[in-house]
Amino acid sequence: MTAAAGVGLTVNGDPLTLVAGPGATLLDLLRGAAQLTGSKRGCNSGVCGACTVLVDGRAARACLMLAADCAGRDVVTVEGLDGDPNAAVLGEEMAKSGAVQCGYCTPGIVVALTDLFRSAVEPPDAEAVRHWLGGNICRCTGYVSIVEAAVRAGGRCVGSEPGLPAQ
Amino acid sequence: MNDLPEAIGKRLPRRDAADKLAGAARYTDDLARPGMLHAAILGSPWPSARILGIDTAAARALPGVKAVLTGADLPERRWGLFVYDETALAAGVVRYVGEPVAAVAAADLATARAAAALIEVDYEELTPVLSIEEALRDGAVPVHPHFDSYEKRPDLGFERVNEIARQEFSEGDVEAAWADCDVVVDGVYEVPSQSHVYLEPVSAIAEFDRAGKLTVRSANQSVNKVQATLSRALDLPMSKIRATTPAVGGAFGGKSGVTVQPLVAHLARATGRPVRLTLTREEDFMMMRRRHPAIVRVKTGAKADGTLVARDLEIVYDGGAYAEDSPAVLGFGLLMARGPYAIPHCRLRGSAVYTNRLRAAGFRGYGNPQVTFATEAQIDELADKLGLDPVDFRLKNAVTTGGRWIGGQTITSCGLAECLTRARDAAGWTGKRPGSGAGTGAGANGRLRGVGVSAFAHICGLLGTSATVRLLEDGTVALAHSAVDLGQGAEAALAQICAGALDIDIDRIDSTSADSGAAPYNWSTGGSRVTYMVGRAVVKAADSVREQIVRHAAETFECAPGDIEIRPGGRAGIVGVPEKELSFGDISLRAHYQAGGPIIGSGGLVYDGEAFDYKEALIRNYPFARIGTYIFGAHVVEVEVDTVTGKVEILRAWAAHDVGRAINPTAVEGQIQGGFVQGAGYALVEELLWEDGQPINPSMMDYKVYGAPDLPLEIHPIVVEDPEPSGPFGAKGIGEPPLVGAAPAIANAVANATGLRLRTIPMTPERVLDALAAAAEE
Amino acid sequence: MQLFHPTTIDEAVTLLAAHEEARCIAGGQTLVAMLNLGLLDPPALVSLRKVEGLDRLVRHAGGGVTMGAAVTQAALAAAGLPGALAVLCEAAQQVAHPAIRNFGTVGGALCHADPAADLPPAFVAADARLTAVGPTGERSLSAGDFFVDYLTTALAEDEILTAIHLLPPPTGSVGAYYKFARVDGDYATVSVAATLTLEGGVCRAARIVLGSCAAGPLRLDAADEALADTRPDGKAVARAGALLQEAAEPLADMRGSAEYRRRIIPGLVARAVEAAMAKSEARS
Repeated sequence: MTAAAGVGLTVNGDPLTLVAGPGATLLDLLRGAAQLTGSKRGCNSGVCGACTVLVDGRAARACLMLAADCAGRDVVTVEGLDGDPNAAVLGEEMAKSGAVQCGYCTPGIVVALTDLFRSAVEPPDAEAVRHWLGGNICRCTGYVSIVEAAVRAGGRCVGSEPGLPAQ
Repeated sequence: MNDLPEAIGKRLPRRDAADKLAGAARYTDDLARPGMLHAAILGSPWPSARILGIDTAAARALPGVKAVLTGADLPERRWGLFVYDETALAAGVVRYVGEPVAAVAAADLATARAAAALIEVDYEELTPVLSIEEALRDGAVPVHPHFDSYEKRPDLGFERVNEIARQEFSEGDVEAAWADCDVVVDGVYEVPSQSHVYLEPVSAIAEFDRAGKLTVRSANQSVNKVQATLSRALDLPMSKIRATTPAVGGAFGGKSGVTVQPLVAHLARATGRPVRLTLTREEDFMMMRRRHPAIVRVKTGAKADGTLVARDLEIVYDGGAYAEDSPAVLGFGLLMARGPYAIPHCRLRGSAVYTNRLRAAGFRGYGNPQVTFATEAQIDELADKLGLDPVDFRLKNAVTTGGRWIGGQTITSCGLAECLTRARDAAGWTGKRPGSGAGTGAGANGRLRGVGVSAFAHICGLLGTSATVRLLEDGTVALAHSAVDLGQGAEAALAQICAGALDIDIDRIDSTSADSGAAPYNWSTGGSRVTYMVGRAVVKAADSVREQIVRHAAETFECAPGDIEIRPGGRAGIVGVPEKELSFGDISLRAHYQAGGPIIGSGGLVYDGEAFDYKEALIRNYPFARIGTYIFGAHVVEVEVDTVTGKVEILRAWAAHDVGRAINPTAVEGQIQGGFVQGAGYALVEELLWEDGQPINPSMMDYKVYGAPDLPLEIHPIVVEDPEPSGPFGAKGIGEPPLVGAAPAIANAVANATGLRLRTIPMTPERVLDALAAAAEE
Repeated sequence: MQLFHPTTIDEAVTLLAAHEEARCIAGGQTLVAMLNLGLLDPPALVSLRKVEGLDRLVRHAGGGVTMGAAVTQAALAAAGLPGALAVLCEAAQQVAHPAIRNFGTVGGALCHADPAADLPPAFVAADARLTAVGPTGERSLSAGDFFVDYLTTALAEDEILTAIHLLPPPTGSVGAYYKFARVDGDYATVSVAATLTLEGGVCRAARIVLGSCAAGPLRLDAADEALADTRPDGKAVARAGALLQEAAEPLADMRGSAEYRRRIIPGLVARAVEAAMAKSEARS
């Protein structure tokens, strides 16, 4: 691959062949050719976490994945979580507790926490959530409302039928 | 409280939360226009250099490149807020590393960046001015040799080479007052460059239509400032410019001025195509804005009984390469330099200077964090010398409602004492503060604990704003204003105020986002002023709509307007006759189709608080005609200091803020926690650094902001409501103060833990360890 | 820039040899960040993603471990390795952030040889042996010999690190990684990887390795010997710390001056040893 080339991958369940220039990242591909702008570019160097997506089921930095190296991979972006029961519960709790302010970090946090809920055996406590979110920078909230919302959502999602209302 | 409308004080979720959670909110870089080109910038590698020549041939020859601009291609039309010293691209000289020198528009971003890298610039390096000391020394090189010839506001007061402004705000007789003091503390404090690090890098899209009208979509805090500055930069009447604001990913003051909009507009003009420019994070760090670093010399004296008597303060702010709002930052800092205490004798002076570093500008707190770090640290130093409890000492001198601010304004509402006592009591202060002095803090494993306090003030009233409220045909409401929702919740708060003023549900209110073509004027979304100032405009506009509704109802029922009442839920009826009522929808239909015309109310104001008393105070070169309506807060912070590494960890914080009235308590608490954490970063980790004029940490890898694991969950917001008579439902502002109080409270806690006073922030592990080592040697 | 997807190591080595200045990419968590910043522009990248078996972590009977170079940092962090090898898991747990560790590989982190990175000192402390494959075949080298200089390893341009081998940890051995950084997930200002072999509270052997204190992981025979045959109490640990402090040549950057880094070495060595000892006590 020297110039732009087609990359075949699955995005949010759809098999796509997207054109990626040399050196393009998965984030370039998603925000460009795939027109999925929910994944945000905050630093383009893997620090801020605003571009967090799921790659083959695991949280990943879209800005640190070479697009051409994503051939054959399964990618889920925040848009792909529309209808995900865990994401719905999390969103409800985050909105209620003021965990969404400017919103630029929000998609990355939703993806990261949805990944945590899916993989957790027990509802994660505040300690677990704080450390899990270490790679998602929020400049607005001071994190307290995000962690509290995540703990409440985790309590509703993990180890129980998703989507049940809080006790 | 009981007579408040339903919408006021309600914990409503922000209305764009669902879109933001789903990744469906659209920020500027998420938008594309048909035929849109992509732009890239070439920045200066030198802090000070003359541009001898620019070779753009290779860049122009690259297929896909549509335009390459340099400073020589643009008309030399300088702009600024106080001094017209800025251009879209460097004009003959570069003044900081990163300053845009050339710009490219191309069919795709990779081509634009490749082309920018092909531009060759021939520089002659000049001697840079890299610090406040270098700027002010005798024989200093002027950063702007042609400063005298720039258009500027009169009375900036500058006296020396490189001074942008010099001001004074004084009362009483300081020199004579020292004799009345039993204790005097003198100190020099230094505060750093903090970067805004809003998570969305600056971005703008510009396009011209065939009639010559320019539309600019951009991340900003004021479409009106963008419109006005573009008018000057491009020599277009404001009527030919429309500025709008997609979702904004944080700003904190960093997007309050004009950023890249003029440059993108020039590229759009040169190409005849829409152009988008989004800065990389590294470019944003190097090309945009930062908090003013400052050196503050303060001397404060008190009587043995703890009565504050006198203060002498001199501050110098490093404004960087361009003046932007440095004169206003300086002026506001001086207004806050007495602190929220009745100190009868004050001499508060300062200046802002040019250096060959990134321009400094507004950043949450606006000159206040700098002075308040110094003065609140010094209050603790005084308390220590007097043997007084720091909270008691503050309470003894705290201003109260009906008291006067420096300059003579009457304080119309003041919950400061309540903030101090509630933060103290919530923190369990007495038990946590065993006394001051080295080693008093209990802790384990080489760690010392301490607790500290700060008290502080801010304003929320300044400049002009307006709003309109329209009744739609079905009786729901269209609210328009130009406050930008930067994440702080302005949209919901103002809609709640509107809902409160009309006593309807917030779901019946739609608001337009800031758009110079569709919403009325607002000076800026900054200065903690939106809830108070724009809120007042919304109430005025809604009141006008109420009056019209009453008139329509009176005409319909053929009664006097005085017999009509507005009922909760959007109805108007005859007092005492429950069945005689009309819905807002009925009234709006009547207005639209039968009589009177559609109902629209507008409200506007310029800040109308008390003026300064120029007879009582010596006020020189002050930049604000009118500014005020004071807001208050107090923080208590508990820290642990690791004596092995010097690292300071925040264990718990209690942040009490007098907001007059919390329109939306959840949003208020979010401002408190988020602001505190930015202030904690300012106190402990955040600092833009330069070596020989070169920025050494302009990336998120190297410039660190706190993540969730670094912070406690115990950041307790305490909302104090001392209603402000002039505020909408008693509300004042909250945006900035939570940042202001953090650093001094943390420094005071570190002093309590270690017995050591650090007068420089950030209190990095290295600085703390140096102080511990120096103390051990003594 | 060309990207190749070989499926065998031999194929990968051939591609690497055939393209001048080609680089291997595994998880890409550092390399892609460098590409994004324009710090690297290799003409060709050889992806190890499809090379069979490179992401396998094998536990041998007796407690030894062999891990492929493409084992992720997350997998190592969760591996729960016994005894002294716990130092590897602890270091892996502290690399950057969860999403980075999901894709960042052990081999990638070692080959980048950043002196401030977490894995290099841990692998030296665990006395790992590394297998490299090149056009002329396979060779084995110790982790201590692998790190040559700042961002430089002993690998030839056409060699690929394929596997890391760890001997069964001695009975009574413990390991701990103590990282000091400005904020969570940052590169270490100073870090200490420590492995101790204890017999009834007496240290029979120790390996103390510093991160961010030299051009590569810093280990000193004299410091390790200072702990040998002692109950690692204040005095012996202080002596080891002082020796390491003397030998350290840290870089100065925005994380701290060289002098500062030197100054905190003894205290951090003591904390790492203490953390390791605490595990021994918890076990007994």
